[in-house]
Amino acid sequence: MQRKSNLWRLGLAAGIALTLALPLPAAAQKVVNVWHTEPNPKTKAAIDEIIKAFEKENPGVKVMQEAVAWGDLDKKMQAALASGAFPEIAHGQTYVERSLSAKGFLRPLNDVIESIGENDLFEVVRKLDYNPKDKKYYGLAHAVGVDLIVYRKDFMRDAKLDPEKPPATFKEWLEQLKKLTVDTNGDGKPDRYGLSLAGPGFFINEDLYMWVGSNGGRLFDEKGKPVFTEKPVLEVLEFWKQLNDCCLAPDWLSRQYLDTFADLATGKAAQILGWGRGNGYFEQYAPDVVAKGNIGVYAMKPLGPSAKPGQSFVTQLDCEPWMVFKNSKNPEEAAKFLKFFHRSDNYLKYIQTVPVHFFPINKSLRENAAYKATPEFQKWKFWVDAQHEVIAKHDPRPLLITQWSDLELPYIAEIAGSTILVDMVTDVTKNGKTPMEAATKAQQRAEQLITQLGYKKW
Amino acid sequence: MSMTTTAAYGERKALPALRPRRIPEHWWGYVLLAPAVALVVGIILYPVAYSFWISFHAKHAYMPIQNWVGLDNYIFFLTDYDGFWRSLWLGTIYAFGTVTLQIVVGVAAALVLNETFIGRGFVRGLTLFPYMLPTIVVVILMRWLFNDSIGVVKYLLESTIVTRAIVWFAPETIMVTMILVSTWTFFPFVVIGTLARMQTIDPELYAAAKVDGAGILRRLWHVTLPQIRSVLFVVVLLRFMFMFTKFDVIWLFAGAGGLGSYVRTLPIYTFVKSFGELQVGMGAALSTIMFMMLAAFVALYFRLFKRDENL
Repeated sequence: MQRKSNLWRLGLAAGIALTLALPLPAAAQKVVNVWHTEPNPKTKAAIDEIIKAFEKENPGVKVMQEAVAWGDLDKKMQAALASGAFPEIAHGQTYVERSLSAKGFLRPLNDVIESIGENDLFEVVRKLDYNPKDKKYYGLAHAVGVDLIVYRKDFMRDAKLDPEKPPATFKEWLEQLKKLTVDTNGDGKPDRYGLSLAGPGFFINEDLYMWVGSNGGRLFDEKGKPVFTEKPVLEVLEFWKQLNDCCLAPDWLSRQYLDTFADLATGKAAQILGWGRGNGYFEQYAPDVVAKGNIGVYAMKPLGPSAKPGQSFVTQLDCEPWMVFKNSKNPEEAAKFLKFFHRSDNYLKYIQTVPVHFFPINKSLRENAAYKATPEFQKWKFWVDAQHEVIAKHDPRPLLITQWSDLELPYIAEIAGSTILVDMVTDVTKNGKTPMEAATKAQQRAEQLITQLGYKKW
Repeated sequence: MSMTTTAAYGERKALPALRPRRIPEHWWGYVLLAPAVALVVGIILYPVAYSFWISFHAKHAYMPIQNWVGLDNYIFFLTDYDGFWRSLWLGTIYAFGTVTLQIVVGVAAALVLNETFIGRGFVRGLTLFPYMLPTIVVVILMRWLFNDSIGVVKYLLESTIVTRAIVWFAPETIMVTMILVSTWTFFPFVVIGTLARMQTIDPELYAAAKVDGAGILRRLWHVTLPQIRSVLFVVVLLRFMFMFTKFDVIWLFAGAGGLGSYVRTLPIYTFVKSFGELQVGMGAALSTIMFMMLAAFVALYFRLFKRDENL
């Protein structure tokens, strides 16, 4: 009996100890989980600062940020959606936002847009996130940026090319790249290539749709049917084959995105396709090149042979929208946080952590004196100005969107995640297939995939 | 029932009566087994059964779409020559290539490490090093060593043995590179198994073979290999299953598109279907097919090689 009684006491004591050790229940605070794709320590610190200020103004609300690598976000999101454990706020691709809003997962953000001022947003930002069907915004780009040709001016001069004259057509570009592909050590093989491209599927998708768009083409017709066998696509594949044969390193398919920056910094390539945040890479690894002003950026891209008269080139707009999940625990607090985040003083702190890449979404901030005084602009103003010109005049578009109506297609994510377009490119560049053979196969696969997903409308 | 006992030096003292057991004795076996059964059912059987069930559906990865399609997913793969059959072929080359090299290198290393020499303990520890490294570290290290522009291995090879430039990450060479990298990473597993067995071989067998005039090679062939046969049987089986389903090294090294299309083995293809094309039903069907293939392989393997009752 004594032993039994001791056990009871022990159990009671353990229970009390456990209860005391537990933290206060989470329900005492409203938690806003924020998943974003900016793991840069400076950016995270700026977000932390904004969070602290927000929590001070809103006692009882706790904001938790989680920086997720781009490659992991989609998978993390899928797991969250499948399990119903939604974050309050997350970044995503624009086509993911469209797809999720169509299924009713997202809370409209019209009130957040109003708090910033709808007319203050750049036109392209409004176009991105506005759903004309129900006249609501379901996303809001956290910042924007554009993909541009980044090049070495010194190599251009060495090749007797004018560093300030961008190639206007694919043909001119090829000629330029051929001259920039050189054997610098005299061993009979090139050791500096005209262009370095990133080889992972994501980047091949990027280059393909940009070049198809710049060639007056599209990837889907009005009914959403894939049209990979159309002339502009075939011409781009042919162009890629020529690039591969003359001006890309033999192992370009294995090049990661940052490898291409290393190639430019170390002189293994004369041109790359890159984003503004790469400026830090050059400052770190090629300070002498930067100091001599030998890094250049073109505010335009070449057009293909089938480009329509007067059309602009297509380049990618980096524009991940914030999304607020309707079925998360605290969507209203999430929207409140976004309003706070986009208040000029807070937003400026955020933008200035990666100033050459994060282009503000609103015009007034662009004119803000404090923004203009950003120290990095002394060296890199040309890159920021180039982006401004493209954003304001050239209608850049999100990933895989050659025409704005493609945003309504519910299967862009699946096409992007499949290997269909990538295989089409490698079939032509590396496997000896003709553009028509590769495109026909890709078209069949894409139609099959869309049919299997139940989205076929043609 | 009451019980009494007799103290060695003292009076007799009555003990309290014990209550009869409420749970019959033979039930205790089931009760004690229950947690383990629950774990096996919950962690292994349920996911496998659910995956099997999902394989008969067109199920989206995250949208609430799940429609019964019967055997359609399986039928699709029968004629999916560029997808399924190609991945099966690439996966088979990768698995057989790496397992063969792992066995050859692993047994050779174990033979060396079974000898007595100064620093043997250190070398044994060093041999296990590749297996202890996280996969991502191996991948980053190898990408750097074999890099076409700055790779140390590439430079050393081309400045000494190899007369023409080798691009290790090109479509035509990536499979070989993957096999070499995987062999380097996983051969210590073979070393551990075979070395442990070699250390227990009776020295008298070697002495007797020497008396009979057997040289090194004949002792290897007639003594060592038969003695480690039982271990090799298990090691080959495990390594084949591991390599046939290997995902991380290939994925981190080459991804799914671009260069990855030349090493798109079945696990990678399954990932692309499930998380790229977001067709979880298709991915589940592929997983089931892989499971059945491995089960058939194991059955065949046992039938062909399990001749010795010690195996």
